[in-house]
Amino acid sequence: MKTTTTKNNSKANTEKEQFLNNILAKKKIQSPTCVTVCAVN
Amino acid sequence: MIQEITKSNKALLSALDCDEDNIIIEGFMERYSVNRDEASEILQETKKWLWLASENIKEKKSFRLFIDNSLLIIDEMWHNFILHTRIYQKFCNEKLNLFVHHEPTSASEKIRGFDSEEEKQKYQKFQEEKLRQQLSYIYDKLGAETVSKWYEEFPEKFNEKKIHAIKR
Repeated sequence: MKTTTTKNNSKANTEKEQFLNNILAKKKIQSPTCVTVCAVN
Repeated sequence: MIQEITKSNKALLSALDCDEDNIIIEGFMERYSVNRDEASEILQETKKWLWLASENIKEKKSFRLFIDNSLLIIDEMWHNFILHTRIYQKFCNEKLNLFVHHEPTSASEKIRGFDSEEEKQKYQKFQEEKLRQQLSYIYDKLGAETVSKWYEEFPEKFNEKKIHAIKR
């Protein structure tokens, strides 16, 4: 059971990495236009 | 309740729903040539962005979210939202429990000069890592669909040139 869970997590991580790599490969890296800054009320 | 929501965009948007959404949508339509459905969708995505920014702070992450050219239309809606100061403040207080400030990057920071190719590559590598970190965070909190909408669909539909063209 534990092995199956580990395998599933590993598969999900690989899918995520591939997905993000595809997006990054298509994107030209640019400087940020703005950043978010928060003040706790 | 909102803090427990991850990847369930529909539930999140329902939790972020405001009585004054129409005022923000109509304000955006006065400033940009978009239809109501488009303006409504951009506002929904901007609210998700603001929620994510507040989560990033509450979780005391070592990085802050940033807007680059891919997310320009979200930035434009954010500017429009901020114009309605009372509604924006109410949204931050009631929905995020945190006031999310907007801090533009200065012109001198945007136009960077490099003394060497090595320095330029080092900077680009740093920016790429920051972006990867942000994409990973968005993926974990809001799912692949949101990453794709923000970094593939929106830049295609609303790039800098197109935003300039729809400004009234």
